Amino acid sequence: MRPLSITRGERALQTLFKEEITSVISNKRYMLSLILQLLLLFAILPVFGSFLSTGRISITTPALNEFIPLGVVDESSSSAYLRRALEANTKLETVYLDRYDESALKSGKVAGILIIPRDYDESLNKVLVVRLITYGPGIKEGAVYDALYPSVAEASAMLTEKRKEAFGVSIEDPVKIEKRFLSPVVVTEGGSRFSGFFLSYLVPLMLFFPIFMVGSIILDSVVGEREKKTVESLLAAPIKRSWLVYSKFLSASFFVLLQLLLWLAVFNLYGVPLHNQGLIIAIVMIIDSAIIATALLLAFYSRTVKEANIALMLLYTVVFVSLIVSLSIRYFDRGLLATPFTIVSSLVVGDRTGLLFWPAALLIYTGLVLAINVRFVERDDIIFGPRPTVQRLLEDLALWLFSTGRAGYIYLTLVFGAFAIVYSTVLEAALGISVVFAFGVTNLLIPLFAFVEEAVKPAGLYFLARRRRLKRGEALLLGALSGFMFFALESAVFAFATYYLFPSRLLDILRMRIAVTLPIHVAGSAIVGYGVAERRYFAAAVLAATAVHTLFNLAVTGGVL
Amino acid sequence: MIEFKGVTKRFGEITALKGIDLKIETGEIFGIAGPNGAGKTTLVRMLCAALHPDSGAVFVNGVNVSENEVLVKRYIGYLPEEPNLYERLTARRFLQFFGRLYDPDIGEERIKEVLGLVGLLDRAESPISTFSKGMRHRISLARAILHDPPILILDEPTMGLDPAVATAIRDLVYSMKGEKTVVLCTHYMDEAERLCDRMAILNQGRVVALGTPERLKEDVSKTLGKEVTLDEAFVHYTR
Repeated sequence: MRPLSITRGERALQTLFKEEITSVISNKRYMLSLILQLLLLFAILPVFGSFLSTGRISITTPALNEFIPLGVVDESSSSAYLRRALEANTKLETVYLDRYDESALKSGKVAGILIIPRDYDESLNKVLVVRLITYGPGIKEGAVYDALYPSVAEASAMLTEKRKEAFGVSIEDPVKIEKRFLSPVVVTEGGSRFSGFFLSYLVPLMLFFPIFMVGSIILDSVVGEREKKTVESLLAAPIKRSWLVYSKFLSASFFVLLQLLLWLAVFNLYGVPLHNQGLIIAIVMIIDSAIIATALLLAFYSRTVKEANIALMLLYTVVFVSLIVSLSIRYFDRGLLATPFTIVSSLVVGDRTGLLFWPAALLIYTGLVLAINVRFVERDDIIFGPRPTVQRLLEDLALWLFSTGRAGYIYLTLVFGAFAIVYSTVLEAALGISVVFAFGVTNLLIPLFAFVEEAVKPAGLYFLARRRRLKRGEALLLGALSGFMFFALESAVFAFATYYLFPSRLLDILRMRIAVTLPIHVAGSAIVGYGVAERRYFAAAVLAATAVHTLFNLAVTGGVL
Repeated sequence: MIEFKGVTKRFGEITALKGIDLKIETGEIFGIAGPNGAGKTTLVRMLCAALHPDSGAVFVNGVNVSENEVLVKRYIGYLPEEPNLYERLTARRFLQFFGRLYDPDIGEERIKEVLGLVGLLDRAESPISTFSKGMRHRISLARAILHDPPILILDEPTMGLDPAVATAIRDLVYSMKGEKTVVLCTHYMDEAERLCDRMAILNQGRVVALGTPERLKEDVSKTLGKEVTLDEAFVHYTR
């Protein structure tokens, strides 16, 4: 035999990646949809972009369908033309104010305040300046400006006609808008010309469209390969199974990136003023990578293309709804904390807040899901069947974690403690809604939620106990660790929310949780853990833990703590 | 040398292989026969690391396949029972793709040589989707021998093929005798008798007979007290 080395691995991975790319490029339907998508973008951009407006062309923005509340403070003695034009404006809901009221602007009662100053006098042949005061750049400001501009232009046109009649001569466009912002952030020239809705809402939305197109690639690449059984030949080739995951992940990411760059190129071609484009690419790709990794996981776990289609559709529904809700809340209520999607919305208009948490969290998530994908393809039953149940997968995970030596305790606790947050949230939401609908009482929720959390926290122990007998001390310790991990993650969520909502209370909240919540969770899970080892006491253990937890919940809701 | 040591494999509730112990010598053509579901495909998939044993291990020249799969798989050519081809690729592109996975030094010359060997040189630029069943088997065989592996695993290589193609494939396998280690899964006892130096008969995940085709026939003949064919011996072992 010739001496061989595995250093050729990278080249093999490259070959797999290239083959995935070639496979997609040779897919005529995909390429056609890519081209059509681009053509569509070219066609719709001018419709939404008020950049086409130069004063003569009527502006078309989605704001046309909105009634934008605009406060008007008229200090002038002669503004009949402008007032008439404002009243005729169907995009604006004009509210006349006695005086300039900053609180109306801050509270969002009005999207902007137009001040018609004392020196504004339509009887004089001079340049007249009105002031539009908005909160800041990026959200509604562009839309307010876009909606107001036609009225000002109309007033200008009428005044020009009148002046020509009266004085024989008039300057063109005599009425000017001067913009001022409460927020110190300076808006660019572009921001003033583009609808805020377009920049803050539609552009981020469009930047996420490529991820919705890549689903078919993932399906064909994973489930198609398994159904056609070409995967068997690949598994017999000198490649690691993990390379299959990486090549599929990289090729899907490649096409998302390609489309994203094309879309950005089109935006730039039309002169859409996007800030932070490098960061936008990075953040969108981080978010999309998390979605791709999840889609891969669903595809690997699905038995058939049909099943994978349903799973992918559910994933996309969740993503799409999250995207729309995030962007909507971000647009209509600037106060909402950042979600991964709103970060992009902020970046587009030059705001870099909230950049650290979500990208870091998503990168960790993607890494974790890719690792699960790799573990998946390393399982023969995932590739060749029969497909293992989720319970079987969790059992295997528990055993594997436990078998990793002394640290296995910690791994088991970490993983199932993290799972417990997800399980309990889903269960609490489902049971909570059912109970409230069925009985119409909310008091039941307190013991119910306590029960759910106490039952779910030591989930890792349940799986472990199915395979081997646990010692009492061991189960007690593992239970306590599960409770600790649950507490740690729950506290991280609380800390995150508090940091955004009431930053000054962050330390108080953390101190309170460590002093009271930590012992409750640790003790409760330790008791249930004991019950897992001594099965005859299991029900009693869960009830005892639930009782303690319920008392704690009552104390919190009753204001004792 | 190939060695299976206590190999067990389960699929859900079904145990496909139950503690298989088997040695295959270098250079021999080794047949694996057995009724449907006996575990033949599972056994050969394990040899080329497409499957992993639940317990036990497979060794190639003393190297554990599961622990060194990338390395070991370079020595192995695998012809699966179903051709499993990339339909959109041409025959040449298909071999080029797998050639790069196995050995970057495999060039156009080798691809042409192998295509000639399986009689598909004139269809090198045709998409595989246009190939007949026999041609699909031949291109699949071309992929298996492309990197000139010292070990060749053929899972039902002549199943469902017309006599001409089946004979061509058998001749090709026969020409490798002594040069390569060939593991041949087959339902055809005449094929096993003609090609194999030794063979194992599997039934319900266990090796129920092992030896040369002649020896297997002799053993059954002694038991039954009459001359039997290999087909009859097979039925005897697997009933």
